[in-house]
Amino acid sequence: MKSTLRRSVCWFLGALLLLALWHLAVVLLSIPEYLLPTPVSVLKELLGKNLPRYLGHVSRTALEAASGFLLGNVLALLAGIILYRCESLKLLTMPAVAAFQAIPIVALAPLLIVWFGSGMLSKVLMAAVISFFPTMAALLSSFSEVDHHAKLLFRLYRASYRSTVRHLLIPAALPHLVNGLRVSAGLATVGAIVAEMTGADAGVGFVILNASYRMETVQLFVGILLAALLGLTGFGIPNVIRYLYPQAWASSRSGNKP
Amino acid sequence: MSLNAAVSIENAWLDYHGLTVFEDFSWKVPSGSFTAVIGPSGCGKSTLLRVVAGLEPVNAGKLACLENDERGQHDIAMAFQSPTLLPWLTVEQNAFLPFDLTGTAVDSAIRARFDRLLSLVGLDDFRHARPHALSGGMQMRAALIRTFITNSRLVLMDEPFAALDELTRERLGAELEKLWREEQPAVVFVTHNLSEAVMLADRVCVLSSRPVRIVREIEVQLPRPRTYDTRFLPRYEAVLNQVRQCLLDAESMV
Repeated sequence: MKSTLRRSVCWFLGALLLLALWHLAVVLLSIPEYLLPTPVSVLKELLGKNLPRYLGHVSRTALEAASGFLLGNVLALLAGIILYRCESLKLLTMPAVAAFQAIPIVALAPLLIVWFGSGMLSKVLMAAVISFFPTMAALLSSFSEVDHHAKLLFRLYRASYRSTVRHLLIPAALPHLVNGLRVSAGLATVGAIVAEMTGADAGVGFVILNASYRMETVQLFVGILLAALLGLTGFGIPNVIRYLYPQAWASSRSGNKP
Repeated sequence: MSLNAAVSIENAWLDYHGLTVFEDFSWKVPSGSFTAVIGPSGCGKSTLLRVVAGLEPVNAGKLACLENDERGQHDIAMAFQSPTLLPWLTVEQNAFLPFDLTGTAVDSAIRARFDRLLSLVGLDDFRHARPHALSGGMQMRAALIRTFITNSRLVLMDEPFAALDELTRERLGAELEKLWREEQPAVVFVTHNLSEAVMLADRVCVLSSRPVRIVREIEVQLPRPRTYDTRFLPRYEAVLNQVRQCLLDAESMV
């Protein structure tokens, strides 16, 4: 408890120190605002008369990223469960998966805009595609790392695959899976923003791109700040599972392997 | 298949990962008996257990476990070298796993059996503990509960106490003998430990290295229950030496 408090205080002080240094540097070196605005002017712009507009953009991006995250991860979960069961299907699809992973997924953004237009759908799909792979990879590798004897035991008791997934594979994979989900949630935000920067009329990516065209550096910084906040939020959300199902982390707290 | 064999393997052939494990292998385990299986490392003892459990098909030959009328969902129980408890479940939930997986309701008879096993292995206070809160020996005790809760007619054990210290191993061996004496399932107990084999079993089955053959089956005619004093009987020494000599022969016959 005491160390948590100390960590929070240190974290807060560190952030404050960074902002203070930033502000001082701009003022002392008299850097022009169009190159580097002070944190104070960035906050002023964010919380000023444009706040409702910014909130609109943020919620748009959040909605796109969250929908894409859900879609991508539900598909990844299904794909992982099916591919783990069907070894031959897994071998069949692995070249395609490897090829797909070799593409920087952001390079697909223009294609998605061409196919699905500049509306929300292309952003949701971008977020879905980018969040699909980390989860599926985490799932497949942690399924195969589940204790061999536990798997034998389930076969001995003639457990169905459905019941093996529910009672063994998913609970055992959960700590890994949550790490995969965290990466995937951060990436979903990146995906949505990149797709917005490729072609959109709203969202954080639109704010950033628009501000850069007009050399509105303060607005550009607001966009970056909002993107960072979204990414952080996404990264934190999968931790909820830790509080909902803490017993899955039981083994990692001690050296005893099942 | 003879009427009272728990396991009967006839003329089995098995290639496993390119190695010939069985070459016309035949073996019988009388029902209700306690059989210890001992043999050179890597001779296929664990594979033999998996074949008996039906987890590994043989290439050719006949395999029969238990009489037909004894076959059910929980006809065979198995224990491994590691406790193999699910770390997110409590001792009680781990014990009831065989029933949960087959959709069998845990009724009062099963609960009563669980309570009896729990106090038999001395885990009364740890019913709701998760495995990480238990020592290695206690985890193995919890695994013993799960192995015996189904009242299976055939219990397969693959070096269950190998990772434990000598004293814990002896204590758990005594508990295992007690469980076996009460219910008389056929137990097949793979071990590396000669004295453990002789202390627990009715007969010690010495295997050769691959391809597996039965070098000899040695009857252990020692009084039960086997206690600390059993080790001082001249008969114990004699059987132990017999098994040791047999194992040495098995290892030199490559």
